[in-house]
Amino acid sequence: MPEADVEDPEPVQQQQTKLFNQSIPEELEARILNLLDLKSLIRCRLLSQKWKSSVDRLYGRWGAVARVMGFANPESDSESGERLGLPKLLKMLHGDWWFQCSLCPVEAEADINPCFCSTTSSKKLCLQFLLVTAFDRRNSYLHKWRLRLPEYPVTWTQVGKASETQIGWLVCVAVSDRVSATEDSSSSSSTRESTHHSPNENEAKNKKPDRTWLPPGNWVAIVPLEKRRSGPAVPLCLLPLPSKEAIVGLEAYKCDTSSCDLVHLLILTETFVLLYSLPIEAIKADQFENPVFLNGPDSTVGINNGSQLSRQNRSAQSIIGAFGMYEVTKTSNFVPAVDRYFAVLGGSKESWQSDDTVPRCFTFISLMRSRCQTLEQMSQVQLGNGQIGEFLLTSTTEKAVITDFRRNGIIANYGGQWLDKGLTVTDKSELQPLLAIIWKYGFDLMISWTTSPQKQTSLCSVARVVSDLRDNCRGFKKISPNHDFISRSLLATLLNDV
Amino acid sequence: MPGIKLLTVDNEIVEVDADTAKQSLLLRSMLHDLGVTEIDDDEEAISLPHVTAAALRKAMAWCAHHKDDPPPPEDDENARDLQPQQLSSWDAEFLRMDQSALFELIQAANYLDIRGLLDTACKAVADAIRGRSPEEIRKAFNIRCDFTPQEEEQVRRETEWCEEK
Repeated sequence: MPEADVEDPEPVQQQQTKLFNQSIPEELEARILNLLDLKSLIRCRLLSQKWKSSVDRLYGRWGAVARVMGFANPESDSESGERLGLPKLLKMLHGDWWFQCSLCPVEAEADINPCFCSTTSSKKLCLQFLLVTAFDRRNSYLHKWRLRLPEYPVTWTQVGKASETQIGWLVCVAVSDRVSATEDSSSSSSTRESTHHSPNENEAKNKKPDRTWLPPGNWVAIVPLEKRRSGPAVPLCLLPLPSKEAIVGLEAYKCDTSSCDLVHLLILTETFVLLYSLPIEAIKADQFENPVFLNGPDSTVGINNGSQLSRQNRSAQSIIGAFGMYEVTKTSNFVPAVDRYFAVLGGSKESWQSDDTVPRCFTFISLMRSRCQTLEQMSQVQLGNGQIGEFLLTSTTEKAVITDFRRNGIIANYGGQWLDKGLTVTDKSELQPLLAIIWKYGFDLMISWTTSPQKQTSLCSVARVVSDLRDNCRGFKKISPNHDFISRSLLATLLNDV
Repeated sequence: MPGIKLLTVDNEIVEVDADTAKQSLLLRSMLHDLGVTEIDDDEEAISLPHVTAAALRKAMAWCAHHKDDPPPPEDDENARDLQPQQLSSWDAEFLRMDQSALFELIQAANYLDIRGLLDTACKAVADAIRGRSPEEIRKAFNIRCDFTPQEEEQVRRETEWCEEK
């Protein structure tokens, strides 16, 4: 038998707690509880006082959890003599003193080489090191990290989330905000902290932080994490936020072509989705000690304050899970889905490569009621006035949406089943200016059109061609993967039938 | 097939196959110490003061079925939170019994030191808890909630981070 988690071995008869309303020794109850996953185990605390007490006293289990979380020797807190049960672990997780007590991970000093900020060329980067406690995927919302500035060694910790992105685990740390917050709170917390700090540290603590290396604004450090390992981490880049908001989501996307030399960071705050780009060299391991300063977002989209997304954020007060990533077509880019929303980054890959610029279009589609399941197609078409139109067809379990991508507007919005055929766009009609979008919808042929494509809110209609055109529908499938093959007469027929 | 006699707590003598019985580390050690190899009418039955006849028969049936299994791995704290292994269909069917019989079997496996059976039977209980709501668990194990609403809310708040996602 392994060592039981419970302490104070006593005769078997006295150890029985009847957790299960059966007479079994406490060590067996502990054995059963230890077979549970963390979530089920914690749920057991809600059953009764007795169960809560039994779960809390699984010292071996909570010690193991603490070790995974990065606490070094969590069971050996000789100062208090208190063993590490769940209540103490919870205190450690939520308390500010966490990193300053004897349970904190061994500090690995990792000096960051001075780095010159692109906007204030003579200022040195003084961010010294960031100690990160990383968790596995299931516990990714429980991160604590520590920011230390050389002139101002008061630590700051926070529980937060990390996102696994295409380029690895990343966490956002609001640098300037937190430095200010620490500064403000230093007096109130000095009593507690003074018991942990050396005299030199206390002396240094009284100094004003040197933040001249950081331009004014709300700066955020994007920090790569290593899974299941505590240790120093250094920022990949520092970027300015346009407003003082908590970051609730992060996605990073790296082009998979050799000629594309940008990494795109999509950041979700409570009221904005922001797109940043940084040189691909910045994510190479040997560059980590020289984080890149970004000047500002390449693109910004506001989120309606009353939107469901925003409400969700407020209630959860934490990061929405990892963004889904969708490759679209050769001529378009990627579409990260933010829970029930879509963020579409536009512009062709070719244009990114040739122009060396960031995507020009950034559309945020917020009318989805459920997570997008398929991204049907994105098509480009020359409109009659010489402009290029880009149309995106997306579908969820509840509705399908056609978006005029360039104009950032939804032109058609259909409930019901999925659209099972891609989008076809044509302007080859004698009824110029005309834009028609034809696709197959179940057994029906569908058509939408507008007579005024220049207007963002152009009218849109639908014609359902049901029974008498079913033959044509099959024919349509054969002949019209390319809109060039749609004849004017067929289009006219379709339109006349409406 | 050589056998041995075991006297259970309910004063019943159960004859079991010696090879099967040796999967119990307790019985193996006792047989070794006593030099018992087979049933002898004159031989006194080995007393098992914490095991009922029903539980002993079940335990021996399990041992007989698993006699060719490799020994179970040592406990590994770090592996605890990994995806739990499913019970085999035979074990699941074997352990389909009322709760008091199941806990009696767990006690027997613990006393007889049959690690594989202990693990399997404990797993069956854990499976009855895993993924269920507190209300469902209370119902399954006839547990009375003695929290006040305020206490329950407090406990819920303490660990609400675990219910996220």
